[in-house]
Amino acid sequence: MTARRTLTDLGVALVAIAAIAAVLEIWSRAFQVPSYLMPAPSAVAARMATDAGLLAREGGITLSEAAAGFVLGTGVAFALATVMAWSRPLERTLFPLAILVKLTPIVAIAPLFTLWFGFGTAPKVAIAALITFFPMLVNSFVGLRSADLQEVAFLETLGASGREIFRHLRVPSALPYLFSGARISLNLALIGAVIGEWTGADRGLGRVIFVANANLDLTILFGAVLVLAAIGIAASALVGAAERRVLHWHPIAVAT
Amino acid sequence: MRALAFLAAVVLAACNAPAAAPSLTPLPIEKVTFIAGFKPQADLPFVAVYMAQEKGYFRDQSLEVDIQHATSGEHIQLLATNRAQFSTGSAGDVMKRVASAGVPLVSIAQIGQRDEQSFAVRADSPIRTLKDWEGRLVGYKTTVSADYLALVSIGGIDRAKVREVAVGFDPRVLADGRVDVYPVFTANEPDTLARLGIPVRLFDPTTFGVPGLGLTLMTNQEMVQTKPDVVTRFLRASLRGLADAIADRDAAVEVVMKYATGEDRAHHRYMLDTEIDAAQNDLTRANGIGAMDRTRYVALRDFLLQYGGLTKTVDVDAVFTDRFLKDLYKDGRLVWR
Repeated sequence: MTARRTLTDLGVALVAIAAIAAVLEIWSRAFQVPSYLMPAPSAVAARMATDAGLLAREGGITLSEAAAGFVLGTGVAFALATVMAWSRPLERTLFPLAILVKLTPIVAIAPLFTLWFGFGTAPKVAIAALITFFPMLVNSFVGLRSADLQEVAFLETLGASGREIFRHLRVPSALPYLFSGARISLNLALIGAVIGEWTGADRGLGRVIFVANANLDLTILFGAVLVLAAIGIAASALVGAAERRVLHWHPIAVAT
Repeated sequence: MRALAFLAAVVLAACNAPAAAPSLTPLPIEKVTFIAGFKPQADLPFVAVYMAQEKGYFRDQSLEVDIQHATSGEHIQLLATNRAQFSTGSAGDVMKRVASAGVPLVSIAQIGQRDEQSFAVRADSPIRTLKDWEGRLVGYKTTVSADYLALVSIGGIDRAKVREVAVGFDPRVLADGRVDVYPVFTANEPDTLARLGIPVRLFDPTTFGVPGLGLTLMTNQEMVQTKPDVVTRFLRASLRGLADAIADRDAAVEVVMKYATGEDRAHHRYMLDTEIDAAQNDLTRANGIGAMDRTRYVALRDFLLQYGGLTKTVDVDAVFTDRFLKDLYKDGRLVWR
């Protein structure tokens, strides 16, 4: 049933994409739109085929940076959320700092990461981590606090320790929130890696996009954007599949 | 004696001022947009337009000019689609856009007469010659440039011994010691670094014989073909503004600061001085500021082709025209009408 629904959803999405591509193709041909303004989808597809190896290599680099940033950012966020859920004073201390991180314009400070961490992978991972931090922090915090108070009291009457309550009640209660945060954060991590690659990188899809924009080479630019979108969709699908497997008992798994 | 000095000043001013010609019947007002290729600053083509606007020269030419600034390269597309009618870009960039993407751009005045980029090392660096780049970390801004490859060839550098890294547009990586050689825009980044306490020495490609050219004022093919009179009037007013800026740099910086609000005045003065210096050579002394020489465009094109700056050749007559300048100057003096 689930597999059939997934295939149906995929089919509908592909038909919609094909329809949009067809309209753009007709429009660009009918009005002879120059490729430096809007390349025809067929030109983008041809370029993607020609440069498939390049896009795969650079996409792999961006994906690895995003994945590392995601693990780092969400790991730190979950740890801090745990501390905040455990202690009101710490919540009041840390939450404003988290808001500060959230409100920091990443594009503006991205060059600083190159100064701090050099030209390698580290600044891209750090930016991806930073951008994923807040959504996971909020989701983790709300999730950990969402445990039913009566259930907490019940476990306490049974003599459960704080650690046991955390492990057997709070974390399971937080799982829907954690998956929701992961869905948001994964795609943000990709954007963070791309932003990092705009400032002092010689590899990655962000670099491809940056150079293509400088050269007005929009076929490879859109090709890179589509590869990035495909990675994002695949990552979201993976999280969705994991969510359905882990939360098979939860109503949210049925709804997604 | 004072009267003599006054007389001398009047004579000098008369020599530098644009020659006046009889006024014609006022034309209907034409609205055009100038989009500068970067944020507000004392880039000389920007200054020319700022000054012309400030002094009412555009109005005198029956033009209503909307001045905008680009930050992400969007000025090229806006110019190509005639959403903007005038902009700026280096002569090499114009060639690349026309050659690689067929963008209908045309340079109409060559303001910067030399390469706008150099390579900087810290003043206390042991790097003294091009050959010293071997074993060092050398930055490039977007892609490895033709200038760099030319210097590698000229200096006999074994490129395999150079570590090349994309550094973007933040000169602090040189200040921070993360690279040994950093590509700079000569007009502003050396001053930015000096203000960070890092004086630099420059390897200027021009001094090594690289035939680079700097910023141009440019328009699109549609304007050249359908509204040449508007192009002429825009250029006339801009070049008069530029002449005023050269004659009174303090006043020019005052005008720049109206656009670059909150920025460092001294930095813009440095930039203006550097760009004025780069805008003048024997060619401009004979033919006026902005003068264009076909042989230099051919040399630039051939150089870019040789070092990978162009992937295919381009007809230089399609990327620049001096027909408007020829209408504007007489004996090297701007004719104002």
